[in-house]
Amino acid sequence: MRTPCRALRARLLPLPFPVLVAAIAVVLALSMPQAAAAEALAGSYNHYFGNLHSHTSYSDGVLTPSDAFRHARHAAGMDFHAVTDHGYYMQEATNLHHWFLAHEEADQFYEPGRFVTLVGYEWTFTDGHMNGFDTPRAASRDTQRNLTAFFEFLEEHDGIGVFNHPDYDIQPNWNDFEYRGLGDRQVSLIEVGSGPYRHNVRNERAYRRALDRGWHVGAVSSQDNHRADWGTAAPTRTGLIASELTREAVLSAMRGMRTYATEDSNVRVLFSSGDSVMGDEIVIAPDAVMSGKFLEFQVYVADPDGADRLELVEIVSNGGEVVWQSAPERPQAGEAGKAGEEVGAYEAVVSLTPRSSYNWYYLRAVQVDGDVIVTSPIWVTTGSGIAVCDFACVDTVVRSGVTARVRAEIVNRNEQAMYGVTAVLYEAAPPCRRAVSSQRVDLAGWSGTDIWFDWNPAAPGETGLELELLMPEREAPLIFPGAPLLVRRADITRVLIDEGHNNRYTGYMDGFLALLAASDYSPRISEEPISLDALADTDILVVNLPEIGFALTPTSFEQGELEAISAFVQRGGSLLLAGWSIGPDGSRTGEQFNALLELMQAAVRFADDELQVDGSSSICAYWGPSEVGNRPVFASEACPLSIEDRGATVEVFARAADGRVFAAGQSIGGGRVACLGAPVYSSLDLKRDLYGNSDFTLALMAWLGKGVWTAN
Amino acid sequence: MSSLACVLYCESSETTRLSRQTTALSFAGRSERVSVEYEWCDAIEKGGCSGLLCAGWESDLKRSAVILLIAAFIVTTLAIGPTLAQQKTTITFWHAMGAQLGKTIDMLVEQFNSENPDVFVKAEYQGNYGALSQKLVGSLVARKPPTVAQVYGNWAAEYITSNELVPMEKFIKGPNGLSSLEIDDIWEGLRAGCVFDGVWYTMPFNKSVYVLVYNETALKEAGIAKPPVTWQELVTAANALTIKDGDKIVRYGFGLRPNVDYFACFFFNAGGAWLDAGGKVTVNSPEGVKALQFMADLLSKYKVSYYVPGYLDADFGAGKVAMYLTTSPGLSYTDQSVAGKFEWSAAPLPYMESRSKSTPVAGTDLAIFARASEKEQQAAWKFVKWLVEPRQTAKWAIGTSYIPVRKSAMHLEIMKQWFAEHSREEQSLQQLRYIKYDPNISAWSNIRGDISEAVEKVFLGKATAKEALDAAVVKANARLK
Repeated sequence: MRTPCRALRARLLPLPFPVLVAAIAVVLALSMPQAAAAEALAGSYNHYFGNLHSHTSYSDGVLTPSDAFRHARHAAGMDFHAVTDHGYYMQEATNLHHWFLAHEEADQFYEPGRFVTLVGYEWTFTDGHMNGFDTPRAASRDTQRNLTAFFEFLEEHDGIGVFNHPDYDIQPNWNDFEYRGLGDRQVSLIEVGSGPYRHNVRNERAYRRALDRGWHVGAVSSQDNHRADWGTAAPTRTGLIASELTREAVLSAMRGMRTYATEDSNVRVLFSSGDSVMGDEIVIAPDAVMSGKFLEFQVYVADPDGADRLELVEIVSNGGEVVWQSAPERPQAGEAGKAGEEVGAYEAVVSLTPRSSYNWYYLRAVQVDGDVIVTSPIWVTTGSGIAVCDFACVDTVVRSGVTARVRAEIVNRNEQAMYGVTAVLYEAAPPCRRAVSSQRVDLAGWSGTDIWFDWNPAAPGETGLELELLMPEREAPLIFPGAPLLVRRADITRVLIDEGHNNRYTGYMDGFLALLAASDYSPRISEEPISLDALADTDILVVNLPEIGFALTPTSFEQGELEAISAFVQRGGSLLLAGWSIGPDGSRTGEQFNALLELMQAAVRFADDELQVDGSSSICAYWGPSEVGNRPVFASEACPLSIEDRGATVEVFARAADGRVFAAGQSIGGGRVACLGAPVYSSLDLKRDLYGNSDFTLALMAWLGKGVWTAN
Repeated sequence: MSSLACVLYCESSETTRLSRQTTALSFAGRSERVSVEYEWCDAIEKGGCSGLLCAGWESDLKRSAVILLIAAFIVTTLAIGPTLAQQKTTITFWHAMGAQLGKTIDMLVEQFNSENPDVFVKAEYQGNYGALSQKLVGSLVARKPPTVAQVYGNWAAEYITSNELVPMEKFIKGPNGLSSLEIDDIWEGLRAGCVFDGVWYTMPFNKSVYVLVYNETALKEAGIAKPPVTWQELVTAANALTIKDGDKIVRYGFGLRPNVDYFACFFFNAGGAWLDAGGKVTVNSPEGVKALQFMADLLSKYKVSYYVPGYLDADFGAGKVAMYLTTSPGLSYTDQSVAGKFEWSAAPLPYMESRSKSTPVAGTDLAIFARASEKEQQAAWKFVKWLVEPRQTAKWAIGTSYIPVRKSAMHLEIMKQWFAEHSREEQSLQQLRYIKYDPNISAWSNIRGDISEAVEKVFLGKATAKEALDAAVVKANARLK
């Protein structure tokens, strides 16, 4: 029998709050200790600590569930422990008996009130692994061969699902948490902390993404033990609140998401609002959104270890926005006592104004030793079952008077489809709010629907977007705000990056685009052939050396394209050419670049060679005086430049350690041309913290934009 | 007591037949007494019970006849049983074959046990390869290894350095060995992978090669007449098969996995070799960089590919990806995932240049452990030899889609018929001439990890192909010292 934990609690909001707290969420932080509601509520729950993900030799771990339970209880001192061996190990014809054996062992070690044992299984799937609990059999990748089959299995047995180790580096995270209603009904938890062996990986990014995309999931921290270190691999724990320590109560707390992920083994945390606690959903009237009305939240954090003081407490909401923050001063009431004795709890009452028709809030606490604690969320919604995520302008740079594209995903968490919903896009720069565009949209049940708008921002400056949804049978609209954005002037420098010629680092220009967008440029990528028409809206053209070889685009330039580039420069455009060291198989050569430079009568040439230091294909190029903040530039597989005409006015921007030229430029006709031995602005190279590639790139762009070379 | 248990098994209907099998499985790893019971049951079945069992139990007459028959057998077996049990040599066989593969192993072992009353093979599933490796190492430390086990070449290399394996050569050249005709009958490429420093140590068993799996229906829809043969054709086809909806990719042309095995599929086809003449790892050669860069380009440059850490068959079946690489036993999973939703087939791996056409061979070989007594070793050899006889290797291939390790298996009627019905599996055989295998050096397990790490780093955009492979080579060669 499933415990009804995902209760929707209709709540009356307190009286309107003075209007000074307008659009931006929050915040009235009364972070002084208020030993009222929170403590009372905390007293009605007990805190228990355990681990919900581990393996034994029944799959790819070691020893047996008995060993695991014994260790978890006595060596790790936990209150509950789950053995979750891989489901495909426990299938008929192989080792089905392990599944039953594990349950027998769990029963032997189960002592209500003292230690709770659970047996689940890990379902290993390409999109991401998941744990399952409370089902009579284990699901296996061989039987439940896709996500739908697994969700159907969980539904059939009313099992509990967990998103395991949602690390974007190791798995696609269920198509980036694409919303699936059937799954949301059964999946209750997500490993915000996950332990590959002895260290903990923080998956808060994935947690936030899941919440943004509409999933009802709570936070746990699991160790995923594959060795005999159940609970002792790390002090990380899943904390849960329940009235008693029984298997039923633990499962009920898991379903109800009354949990938190903690890197500290015994910190007691409670995040609540009135009689709702973490894992609950509070329903407010639609007109309460952005009305200035607020909700009170109670924060309670207590660690029995005196040294584990709190450094930071914050409440995180939609999109990862921190809507409240406090740096508690310790010690507090109670004063320090003996180890193991409560030192005095940190408590706060926080008033938050719901900004959206779908809000989630979770508590995040950081202790002085760096341990992070993340609770399950409390949802505050209008009860419509509608969430909106990825509501933003997709253009890298928004310019006034230039049409931009706006996208939003509307997630219908209801099983039923909704037809004839009116979606209205507003541009909202308080106190002004103007309707930009509207459309009718049908929302399929239990899934997300994308909508697109065209938006022509009227004036430069900071602004915001709002999405209003008018549901057919509801009077009050649902309101969803977007993140604030900056509309830039129409005439900022426009940069075009060529990716139409199988260019080096095609697909690795994201970092460059972001850097330019953040620095008042308007960059775009083009896969089209180059012509004067194509360059009509361009101030700076960036071309990385084409590669001769496997390609979907031409691997060299037509003569007409070279002539167009030359003419573009003559007429005042600027050009950046970035080379590549000569390929061992003739797949790259500077010939065409040199032909173009000759056509433009430039003095710089790309040499068919490689800049190398100590045999390494990576080099440091030095630019300007070596002052603080003027770090060398990193380049790999770079070629040297030669300067043909000694009489020409060529500015050398950077040299390799051996003195050979790495970057140089000159004015030609009305424009400027810069040459680089390698594209130092690839996403890979911009990430290298020890190097000054970003600064160098911006200095180069400024020079190309007819500025002066700042380093000289 | 044991005979009573046996009667109980054999006396009831179909349902119990199933439960008998399950019971036998769950007993695997227990005492020999159980194994004798099991064999008796088999003997009864072979002696004529099975037909009656299938016929059901409609009449009392039939029932009496069967009981009489069983009684006769019990008397006989009770008389000879103890003698048999005393002479029987029990050997353990550790494997990592789950699901359908495990069922095929059990079927073969059951057959061997019934045909060879002097040997009893206890087949024990140890979990996946990682678990098997871990447990083998543990068993060697505890000085209690199994008699026979599936081993990768590089595991074997490690065991050989500590004299834990008996060279297969000892038995092959022995009185019950293999003739030169029989030796030649084992595919050369597979045999070569079993030789360590000139000594033949292991026996090829579950071997497979990588093939390109493609959605034939999608290919036709995209106007592509045949599966891609070269890398350029792969890029072109993958691009044509990639379907976009706005900024989202609905179907990828090609699926990748961030590991050394997928890398090997490109590395070999670029003409790469794991080691240079001096035995040093040279995966950062121009071929290596080219291969890894090409994989990365499929993802980021051409944007026709994605990668997942796990298996791709589910996504392929769901139409999320139109082509990917898998080993021959993966084809049966693919078939289950596709479940008739569209036409699909398999083709050789695309190559960079035709002269570098190749495929990595995957899978394990059988090894006999030196700690076993001479008698056990001989029994183990009897089993190993039997397993790779044409008839058995054919059954194995049919049950699992692994390659039959013997050329002559191809002439067996069952094999011919099966390949006629399974043209995709036949693609694997076409590639047998081009196989390349991992170096049989003990450090290779860890070096594989180094290379996989390089592939991951590049896929995640954390390093260039050259940087990542340079780093892998430094690590790998340090392991060789």
